[in-house]
Amino acid sequence: MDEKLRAGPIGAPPDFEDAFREHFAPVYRFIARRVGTDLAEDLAAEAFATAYRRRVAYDPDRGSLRSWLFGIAANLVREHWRDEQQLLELDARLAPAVDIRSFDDDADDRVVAAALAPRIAGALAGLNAEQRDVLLLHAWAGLSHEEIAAALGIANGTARSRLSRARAALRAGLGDFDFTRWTFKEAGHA
Amino acid sequence: MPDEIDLLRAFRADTPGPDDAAWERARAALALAEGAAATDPSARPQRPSRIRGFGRPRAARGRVILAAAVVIVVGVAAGVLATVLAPPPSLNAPVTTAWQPARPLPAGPTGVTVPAGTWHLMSYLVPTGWQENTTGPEPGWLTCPTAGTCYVEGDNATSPSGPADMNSLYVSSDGAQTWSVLPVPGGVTFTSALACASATDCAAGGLYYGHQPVYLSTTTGGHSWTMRPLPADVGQIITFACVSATTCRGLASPTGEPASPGFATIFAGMRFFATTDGGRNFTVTSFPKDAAMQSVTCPTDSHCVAIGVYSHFTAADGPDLDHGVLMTSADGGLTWQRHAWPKGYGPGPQPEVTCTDASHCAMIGFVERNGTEGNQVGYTSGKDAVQYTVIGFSADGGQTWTRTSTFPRSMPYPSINALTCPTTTTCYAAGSDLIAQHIGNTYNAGSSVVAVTDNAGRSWQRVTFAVPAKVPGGMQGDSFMDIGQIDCPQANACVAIGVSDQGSPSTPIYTNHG
Repeated sequence: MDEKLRAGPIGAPPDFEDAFREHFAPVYRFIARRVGTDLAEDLAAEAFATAYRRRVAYDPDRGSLRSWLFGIAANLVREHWRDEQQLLELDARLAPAVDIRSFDDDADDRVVAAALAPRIAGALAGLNAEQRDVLLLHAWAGLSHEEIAAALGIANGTARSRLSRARAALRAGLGDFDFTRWTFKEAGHA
Repeated sequence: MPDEIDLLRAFRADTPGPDDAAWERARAALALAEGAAATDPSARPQRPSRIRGFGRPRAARGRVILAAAVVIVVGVAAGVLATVLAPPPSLNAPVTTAWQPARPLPAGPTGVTVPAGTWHLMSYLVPTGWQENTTGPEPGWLTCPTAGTCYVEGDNATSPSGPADMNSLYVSSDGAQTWSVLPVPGGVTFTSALACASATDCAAGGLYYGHQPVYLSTTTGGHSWTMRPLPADVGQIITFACVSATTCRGLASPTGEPASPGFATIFAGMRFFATTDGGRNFTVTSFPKDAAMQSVTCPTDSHCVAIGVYSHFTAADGPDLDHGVLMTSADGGLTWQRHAWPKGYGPGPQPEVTCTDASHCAMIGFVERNGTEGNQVGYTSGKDAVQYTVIGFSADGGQTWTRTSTFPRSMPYPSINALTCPTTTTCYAAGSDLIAQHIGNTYNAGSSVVAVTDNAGRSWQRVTFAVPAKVPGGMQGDSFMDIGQIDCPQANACVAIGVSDQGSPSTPIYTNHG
């Protein structure tokens, strides 16, 4: 798709329609993972309405269309920090669905993640907004350092170092999880 | 080998995509936006306007009413246009505001203490007053001219404890135990911290109605202010200090705009300015073109030290944080001599230098390198993954620098935001570190820290602050993860304030006295 969004000014420009079809689902899902599906419907709609209103400001030289749209979404999610925080804290209080001491070698990422969900939610809840934005844009939206920088309007180096710090903080929040053995260093730490 | 990103990708991976209702909702929002665009002249090409005719003759009375309505509409529109198009107010001459009383703020929660040596959590600034505000409010700058008196500039925010779109000044006269709020002159936003020569004689840089740089001074502790328009060659005051009520020196920026979007505290084209008559007249000195100086300190009338970054950088990449520019002046800032930047660290994203006298100085140094940064609970690796700050010391007035002994091992990767040295040997460095702690039911990777030395950096003691069990309602805890500013007018008389982030409704204040 032509990423210039050089649309005719009015009347559902074909380029924007293409952008909407291609990117709405991933942007919606990114928002839903952060604040829940109830809010996601409104926020995703608002993200694309905002993008439409600001489409003349989109500059492909400064970043991909995808990063621009996720940047708008991230900004909207930020305005619902408390909702996101409450959701994470709720998840953090849930008992794990799987006994984390019973992992075997075949346990896939999803099973481990389900068991660790309270820990991950707690760790995410402990991040500040800047760290959470870069981390989730990277992990859930699949943006590179450069795309994150474009999405958030920050320098590449800042995006890189912020992501680096956020990863360290997430690891710290996961406590004694052993990434080499994909289990906890000592059993019984639920 | 899977890592934390893989784990994160699997977290909430079963979240469904948009259903039909979500698609329809989005299409409806787009249709609305499209409709708005159709009526928004700025969102569409301008077409020649044409005079609209009325197709059917109307009764005379109707024409009168219509004509009257048109006149009213045109009149109102003209009024609105005149209001919108009118330039913002400007200041053409000094103005002194009337004396305003201070309004006490509610006291902070009692019984909440942080056991951290002799340090404790003193109070929460604006503990109950802030409205929910997801983009702030961030605390303004902290200035403590004496052990008892402290000021904090309030950021723009809406609060029932202050005027709408408030630009307030918080003041404490009991060592940060209780606070009052003072209004600042209408239309004024601060652009620098307060620079105080005494408990009541202070000055600050400001903007008048967001566009005109002004010099603000008070001799009444903020109860009344004198505003003076700044000459164009001074620009917007970013940082300065006052040795008396009338003699102040510092740095100003031509535009006040950060030089790069990711580095909010780095300004291009900074100039040195000085006034000896309370802001009536200024001398302005430019630095070399390749130098973007960011911090200056003048411990005596003649001696000044300035540090900064090289100015040759693109806005996207930001400045070189690993190599800085160091200059000193022996004539009060009229001329500057360049010196070699110390080895082993750079100026970092928040350069800061402070001198206690003409010999003893300290600065925050920044270290970043490729590799693996790890502590007992986690690690990260990659390009520039290892980042931390050190404190450099100079005993020859800032010409040469010795890297400090490292912080305690218990501070593996300190990120120091503020440095203050009340004596030649005693310094306090405040910020955060990757020290994990619990906040309620959740983990948190960061902790506020203060490092203290009483031997010019040969050894340091660490003070950390646990998040209290009972934080104010709605507080995210972020404010307790990082200390943004510290000021110690004398040893063992410090006040530090936490950072505020994304909706934290109040700001923790720590002291080691009182």
